Amino acid sequence: MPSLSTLLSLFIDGASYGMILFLIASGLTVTLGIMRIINLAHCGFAMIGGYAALALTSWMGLPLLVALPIAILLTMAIGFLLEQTIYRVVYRTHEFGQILMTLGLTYLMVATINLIFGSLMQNIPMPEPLSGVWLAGGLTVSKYRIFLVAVSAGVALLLWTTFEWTTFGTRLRAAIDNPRMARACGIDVGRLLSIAFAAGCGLAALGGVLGAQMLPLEPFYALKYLVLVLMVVTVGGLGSLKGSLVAALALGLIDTFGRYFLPELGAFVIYVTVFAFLLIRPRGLFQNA
Amino acid sequence: MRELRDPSALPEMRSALRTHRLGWFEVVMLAVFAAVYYLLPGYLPLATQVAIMIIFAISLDLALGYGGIETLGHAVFYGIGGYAAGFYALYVCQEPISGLLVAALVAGLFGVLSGIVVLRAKGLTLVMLTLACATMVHEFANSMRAITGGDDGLSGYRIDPVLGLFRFDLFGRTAYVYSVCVLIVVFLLARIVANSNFGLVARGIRSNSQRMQLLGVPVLNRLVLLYAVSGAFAGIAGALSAQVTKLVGLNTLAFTLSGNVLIVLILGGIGRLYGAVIGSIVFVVLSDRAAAIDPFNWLFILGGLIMLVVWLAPDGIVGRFSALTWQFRKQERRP
Amino acid sequence: MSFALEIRNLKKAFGGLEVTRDVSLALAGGARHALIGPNGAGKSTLVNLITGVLKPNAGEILLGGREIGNLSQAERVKRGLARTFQINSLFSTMTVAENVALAMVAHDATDARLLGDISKDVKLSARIEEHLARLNLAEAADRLVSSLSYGQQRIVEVALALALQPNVLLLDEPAAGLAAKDVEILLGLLKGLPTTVSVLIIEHDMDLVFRFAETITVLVDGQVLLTGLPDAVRKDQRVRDVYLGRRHG
Repeated sequence: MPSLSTLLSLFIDGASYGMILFLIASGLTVTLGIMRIINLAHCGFAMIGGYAALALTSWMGLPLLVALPIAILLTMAIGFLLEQTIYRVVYRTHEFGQILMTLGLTYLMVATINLIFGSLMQNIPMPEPLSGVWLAGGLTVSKYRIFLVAVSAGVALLLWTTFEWTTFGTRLRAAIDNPRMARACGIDVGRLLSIAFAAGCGLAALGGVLGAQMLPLEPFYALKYLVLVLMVVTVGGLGSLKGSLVAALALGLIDTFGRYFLPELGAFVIYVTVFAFLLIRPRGLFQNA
Repeated sequence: MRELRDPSALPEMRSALRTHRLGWFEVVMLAVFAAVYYLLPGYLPLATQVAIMIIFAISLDLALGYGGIETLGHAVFYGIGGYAAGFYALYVCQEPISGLLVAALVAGLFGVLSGIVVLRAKGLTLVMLTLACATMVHEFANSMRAITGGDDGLSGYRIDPVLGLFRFDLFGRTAYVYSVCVLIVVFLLARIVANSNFGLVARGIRSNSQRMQLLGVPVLNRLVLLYAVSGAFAGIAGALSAQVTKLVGLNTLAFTLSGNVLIVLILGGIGRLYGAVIGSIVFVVLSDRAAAIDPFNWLFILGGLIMLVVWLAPDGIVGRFSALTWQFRKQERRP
Repeated sequence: MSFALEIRNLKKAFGGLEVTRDVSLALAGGARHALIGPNGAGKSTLVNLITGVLKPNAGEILLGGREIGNLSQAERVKRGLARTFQINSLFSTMTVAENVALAMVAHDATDARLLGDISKDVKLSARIEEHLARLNLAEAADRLVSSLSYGQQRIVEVALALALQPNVLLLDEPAAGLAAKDVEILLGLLKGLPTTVSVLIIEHDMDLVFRFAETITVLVDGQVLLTGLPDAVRKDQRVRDVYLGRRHG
């Protein structure tokens, strides 16, 4: 039986991993929920955010906490631009066409990143105060992981407040629930989608930057972690932020604990869980909340 | 009760039940294959790759073009077939044809097992499940590196001469003819499936699966069968590759391959079997030329190509072509 | 002798909303039965309950005397139940002949047959041709369903259900959106149905109903108001109230 310290470490690791997945997946959940468009390029935005932060810190020497918001805004701008141009075509194609087109877009992202940054795995340098561990009464916990959990929890709270308590959030929920009806009520669903899309890209970028330790940056990032993000979104229930949060945390914890207790088969535990789960509840945890 | 007449006397019915008919396309293809053998002996390895890709694409066309099964993980069958053939040659028997059959069986079986779970889902969930399934098997092969050779792959097995007569030579002549023959067999088998009652039902499921239920057809059962058949053919492609190159690597299970075969079909056009042929030729030749120059920048071309084709020619090259010939035929019909 | 289709005390509620309250109905063999009522009466829900799209909260559904409540949609069809949709649900990317072929192949239970070229199946082709000829659709055999006029598509909708050779046929507003001449064609078709088939038709077109039905059930607010012969229903004051909007109950 592993020590309390180890268990706590594992828990923090799993939770922070899950929160990163949530941050990245949250944008996808919302756009999927409103317009039912399948955007396989979503992980690409997380990648763009991560690499933007890398460029700002490594090439321009900016501290991480300054580079972070700039990287987020940059990614949101790119996302907005793409949404106004390429995604207009994507909206008009049928479901499988969307899958293919956004896949093509992902390939373009991968190729572009490779052109600029090369193909080796890279890391974003960690700011001094956040690296290292805390020692408290015999327990060792990574400072950075705690920071991650704290920030992500804060963001999740912010999202929840926006969703439940603001007018914007209410309109968004209406658009997710029934886009046609929302339009009929005078809600500008198109504009809402553009805003939500950009915000989603920003969240993904945040996840990409903060999570660069766990999900290292490389050109194939956009494709490598796509499965994970898709699993979070479908297990959580398409269009449900609450579902994505629960699913992401669950998958993060299951994966971390799985890899520790079953090192040989560690990678599967998460897949087997997802398959088993979807067999029982094919619509996910919370349908279109 | 009307007298039963020969269907050839019911021309409307023959064209009303649209089946795949052998025609000049097949003749041209055979001629092209023969021409490559005699005129371009230096390109035989590339041509062999084309033949293998065609088989793989045909398998996907059955699942996607006929049954409407949207999958981003079709490489899982290719890889399973490849490893099955590799293990078979390594530990059991080096005879190639039985190796293909074993691979088909193993891949088909996996199709049944995974299909039962995966095919209950629709839309994005289905896509995700196929992707997750392929990723899972890929991880499995990666972690079982003691057996599978991991990144280095499975190798070191011999393959006996085909039919006991034709040794695999250094120039790839035997490999080429062997692959083309397997392709012809697979093509004919795929035609049989497509033209059968089952083929029609598969198309019906793709068109309106809810209505199929209400015609009394157990849709999930039929989809699983289709998926298994498709998987078996993909397994044959993978096995062929393993036998011809004497190497099976993790790339046979990778997402890149699943993506590539999808692109092949989108390029060529789905649901017609011809699309698999055209798309494979264009794709394999293009990727060979481009990848030789720069593998990453090839992704630019690939990405741009997918987007353009989906946007401008969603029915692929074959679709565009048949749209044109349809215009011709319509004009001929008018008195 | 059991009824072709029998519903006993069927109840269905969505949350707090009771859509079907204690409905009982019986269709004898060869019945020509119409189900009418104002919008929202729960007629389509009833059809969905019978075909298995919805599960009832209580009650029994018997086909040919046997309980089918636990069977899947496909299984019920195999037992001889067929329906048409109010909004066409056809194989629009396929030809008319292919649509009918699907229904026939499903009925014959040869849908899993992998061998044998379907276009060379002489018997099947002849049956399809005969079926289409009876419905005046022979010329349209090789046309894509999506290219047909709305009226013709409605006929194909019925053709599909008929090709299944059902014992019980549920028609959900077959005349919906049809021009007058198409309604005549439809009526001719319905009148020509074999007497072995029991028909339950939901319709708003009263003209069609009174010219076709031998028995009429009036459904209001999820409950059966009355079941009777056409004349009796036509003259019943309560039915008039419901249709003329005077407050009832």
